[in-house]
Amino acid sequence: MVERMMYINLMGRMEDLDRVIERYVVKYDIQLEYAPRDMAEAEGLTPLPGQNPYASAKQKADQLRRITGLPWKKPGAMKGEDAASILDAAARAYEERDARFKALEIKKHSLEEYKKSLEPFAGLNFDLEKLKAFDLITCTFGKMPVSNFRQLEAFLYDDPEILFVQAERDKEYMWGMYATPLILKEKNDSIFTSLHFERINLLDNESGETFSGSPEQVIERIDERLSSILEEMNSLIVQIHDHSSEDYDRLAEAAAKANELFYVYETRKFAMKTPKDFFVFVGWMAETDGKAFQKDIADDSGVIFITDSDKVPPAGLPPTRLKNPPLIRNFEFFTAMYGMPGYGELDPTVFLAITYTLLFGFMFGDLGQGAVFVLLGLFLYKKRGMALGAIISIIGCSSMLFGALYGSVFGFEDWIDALWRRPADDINSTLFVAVGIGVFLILAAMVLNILNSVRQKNWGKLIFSPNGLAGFVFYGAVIAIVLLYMNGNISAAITLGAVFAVIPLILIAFREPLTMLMEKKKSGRHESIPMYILEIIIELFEVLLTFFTNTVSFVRVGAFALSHAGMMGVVMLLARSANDNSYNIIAVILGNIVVMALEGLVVGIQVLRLEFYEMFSRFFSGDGRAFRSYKKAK
Amino acid sequence: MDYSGINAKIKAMRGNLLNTGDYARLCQADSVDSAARTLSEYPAYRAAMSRALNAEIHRDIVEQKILLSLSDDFKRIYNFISDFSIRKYMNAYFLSFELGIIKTLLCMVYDERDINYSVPELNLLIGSELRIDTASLKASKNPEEFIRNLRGAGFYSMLTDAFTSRSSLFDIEMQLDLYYYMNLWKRQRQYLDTKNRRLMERISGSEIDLRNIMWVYRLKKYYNLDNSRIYAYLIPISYRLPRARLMRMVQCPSVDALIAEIESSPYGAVFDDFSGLERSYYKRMSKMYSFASMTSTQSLAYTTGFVYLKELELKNLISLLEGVRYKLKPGDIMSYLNLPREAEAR
Repeated sequence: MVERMMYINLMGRMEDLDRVIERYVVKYDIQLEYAPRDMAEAEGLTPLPGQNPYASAKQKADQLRRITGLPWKKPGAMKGEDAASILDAAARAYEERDARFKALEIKKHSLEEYKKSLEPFAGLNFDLEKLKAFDLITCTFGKMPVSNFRQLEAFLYDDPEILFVQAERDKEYMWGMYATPLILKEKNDSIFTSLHFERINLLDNESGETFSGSPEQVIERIDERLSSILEEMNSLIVQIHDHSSEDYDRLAEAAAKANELFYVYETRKFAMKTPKDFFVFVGWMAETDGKAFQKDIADDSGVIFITDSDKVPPAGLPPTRLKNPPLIRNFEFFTAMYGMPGYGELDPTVFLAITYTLLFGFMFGDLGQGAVFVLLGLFLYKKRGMALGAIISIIGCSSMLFGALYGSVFGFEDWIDALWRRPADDINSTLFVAVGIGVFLILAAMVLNILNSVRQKNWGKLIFSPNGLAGFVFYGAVIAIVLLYMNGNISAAITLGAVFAVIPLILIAFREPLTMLMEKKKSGRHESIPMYILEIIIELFEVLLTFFTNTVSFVRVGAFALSHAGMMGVVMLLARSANDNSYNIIAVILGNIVVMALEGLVVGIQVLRLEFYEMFSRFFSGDGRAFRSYKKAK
Repeated sequence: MDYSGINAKIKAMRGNLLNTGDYARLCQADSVDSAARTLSEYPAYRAAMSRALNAEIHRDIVEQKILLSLSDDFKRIYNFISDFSIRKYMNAYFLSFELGIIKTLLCMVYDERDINYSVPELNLLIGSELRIDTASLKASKNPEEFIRNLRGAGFYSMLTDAFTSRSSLFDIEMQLDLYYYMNLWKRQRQYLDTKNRRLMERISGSEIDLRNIMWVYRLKKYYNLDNSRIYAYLIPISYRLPRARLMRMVQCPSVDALIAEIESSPYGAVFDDFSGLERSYYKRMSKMYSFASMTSTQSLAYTTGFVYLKELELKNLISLLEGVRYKLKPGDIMSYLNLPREAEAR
């Protein structure tokens, strides 16, 4: 059902604005609209100026929520300023912690680098600090390619001016230190440069901390420092994710408050100001909500509630809100997939829910697998909140029902007797029943179209449309002819054909000029007669073809009922052992799962396709816009 | 390993080396073009020259293409050797030629010239043991990139350490030499049997000693370098020249003192004329190879001797082409060549 809507104007004095928003506007389901331009111009309405003062608080709240996983809470009685200051303090604390964390990271990195450069020298047993303190001797650490070290070893080891101390070496490099008198530093540095000695600065590092002792001791001390730094970093991480304290609760509350205040203020964007310092809200409400609202507001002298449900309001057609009984409500998901019904159009959800459920069951009738669908659907719906879960549950029930009728349980056709018949026993009649269902559904869709036309007072469509009265009579007649012909009643078929099939067809063919005539409008066409005839023939051909294909389309309903039995037959064949007639339980389960997944999906889609193509296209335009409650939007 | 097979093969290849008469004939050429044409008549250079002659003749190109002939020969020799250890040694031995090519390429890059060898040619020239991506090496735009593209070669890490933006071509060449000799020395101990090792150690040991002496002389005479810094250009291996003597040479206060020191060393007899160090050096090396080839037939000497002679021939050809290009008199050109005694005998 499409709910009746009312167009509302809400007026009040400017000083009451905030109170009205907080007390009423954000409490009720209203689709707020920006006042139409012509109305605004006619009455001299101007938008309210101003930046949202809670924007920064909300931004901080969002940020904190992102970083710490702050839970959503209901805003309490906290004051706006308090919330802002709590958020401010929290954000600042997080920034400080962040900065501290980054500083620690940098320090950790530089210490690790320093440690890495020290490691090759771990075997040298002297105090680095003391080396720095020498006045007349300089010490240089570094590494050189082994072959250059060979040169050093061969020619310069006995040089009294150079003392080279070896540290670690590997296949390619020799690490070490050379000491030389300060006065010879320049000369010896150039020698070492030509030996491709690469300097490593061990006496200073970038962390800003100094360590004394031998390289090994320094490495130990760096390790200690590193572990304390890691500890501090970890404790910072723990602090960020610590949700236990009372402050944290208050923070969550403040965040919720900031959020609320932000949206309350955002609501002001919809308000317009009249020249006499009044504010105006315009929007749509469901009639039931509107009445309650009106009652609620009656005592409040600060607000005027104006509703205008008769006249078509200036804001265009009303939005559509669907209202259906609980089980059927779940199928609104499918309706919305096709399109929202326009205001004043029939809501096809009820029709969809019933036909979808029955068609699915007909095509996928299995007592056991249906039960699995019911449970799976319930799980998805309850635990995951998926709308599709509810649908799966409902169609599972239908599948169980038809499973009982067909006598099929998990593919075992011999466990229970069929209450009605097994589809595969007589293939022809299964297909015939399917087409029969199709004919009925197509006729039903046309009836719905006729009802819609009446509601919309579109008389041309009612009478002449291929889905209107003419189409209904034509299609009904054709079906009757076919039935009579099959029963050998040929003369009756011819009579019926002449009257009930040909006349509606002519009406359909000339529906455009006839509609014009009826509505006393002038024909807008300027085409030549032959072109027009050609167009009519093509259109008529299409109408006939559509009727035919739509009808034949329903054969699939029977075909799937057959294929389910067929597929399960294959599973049973594979699962049955060749020696004795026992079944391999794993093969049966796996086969059932594969068939359920595959066929369930295909049948689900096929039925939806039937709904949309063969039925909805006949009576449903789906060009409405959905009602969006401002309350829910935030 | 039996050396009669490979020696027979080498004998055939030696038959294709140029003799003095051939050099004299080539000197008569009035242009690089005609020299190249004459050269293409000799079987050893037919293939290499056909590649050069198709292109516009330029001395550089001819020089570059004749180098391919040694790589060709080496590849044939290498494939003839089945012994794994000998192959490993031969790779190290032949590296001196390959490093020569890499130095030439690096020189092109330093001069901002394009490397005008094709990728297949590069694969032939430096393709033995060095796993270098020749395609990207050829595309290198500057020395840094060139050195980075040498990744895969054994000397890569020591070269990247030696290389800074201030490094000269000379520095890098010296570092490559250091690698070559250290590697060769190590491998001949690792892979050669006693007989071959003794033989090759005598040759390469003398080569290292002579090289060190020549560099000390050159560095002292032409470069104003601090004594201690000379060591960075010497190979830290000593064969018949004790290390202390080499160091004494480095510490000599003047070139004259150095000459006296050299003359009193075990290699005193090698250098009769200090204005032509190289000539003396090649004379001595040729003599050593030829002696080894004659006395130890069941050894690698005949093989390495061929590679040496071929390398020397290429060096001579390059000087010869240069002489032709500058229109020197044939007699003058001949005097610049280092002709081994074998060339006259042929």
